[in-house]
Amino acid sequence: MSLPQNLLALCETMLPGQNQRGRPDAATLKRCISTAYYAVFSLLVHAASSMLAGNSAGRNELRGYVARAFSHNEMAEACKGFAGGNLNKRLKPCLQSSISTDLKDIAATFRSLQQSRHDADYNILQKPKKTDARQAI
Amino acid sequence: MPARALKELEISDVEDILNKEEWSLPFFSCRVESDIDSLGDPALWVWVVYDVKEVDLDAAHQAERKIQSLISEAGDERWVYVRFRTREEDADTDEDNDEDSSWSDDSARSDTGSVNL
Repeated sequence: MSLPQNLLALCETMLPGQNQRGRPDAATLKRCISTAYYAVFSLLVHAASSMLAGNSAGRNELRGYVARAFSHNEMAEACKGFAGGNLNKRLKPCLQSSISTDLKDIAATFRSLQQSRHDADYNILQKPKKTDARQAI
Repeated sequence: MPARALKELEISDVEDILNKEEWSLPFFSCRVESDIDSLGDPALWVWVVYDVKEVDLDAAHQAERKIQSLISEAGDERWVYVRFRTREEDADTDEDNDEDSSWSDDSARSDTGSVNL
């Protein structure tokens, strides 16, 4: 399995299944939300760096350097334009067609998930519920 | 050059928009809050409470997009975060907030309202 798939599988092990009894503690739920975000972050960074640097084994090192260039905030900022369909003027000429519904959905989900991760990791007053973790996964 | 201010509706107007819509899902209630998000942007949080034991997240995802569209089409340019709760979880949240209110006065969001859907 790939890293994103492994991370999601890890999330699933932290939570009781649907219709199962059980109430995970706040630490488990926060870790689950954070891990779900990292699954998506890893997937997007891997896909983008593979596209930019190439997917062959000989490009492993370059792909690794390219992957390090992605930042959480910049990715979320970029997602704003894609999700809202109001791209930065400089980016518009780079697109071959209009932004697809799927891409808008991915962008909106990434930003929403990043906020959830931010709350989970840095907001000590936040007490997530099982639905928050399931929504993140 | 300073960033252009986003167009923002009053919380009560956002509530009205959500109230006017006919919802087929088993919503119990909806709370709307405004605050600054982790990117430093003004944003809205819509807390949707379902009258169920377990939230159907596929249906919830559809509702999330619809809520975002409704608010955007009404002219509010803030990002909208939609979060879901069961009634049991929502009641638990209220209890927790009461317990933790002595931690910090900053724990409350800056502007809060509620609607019944």
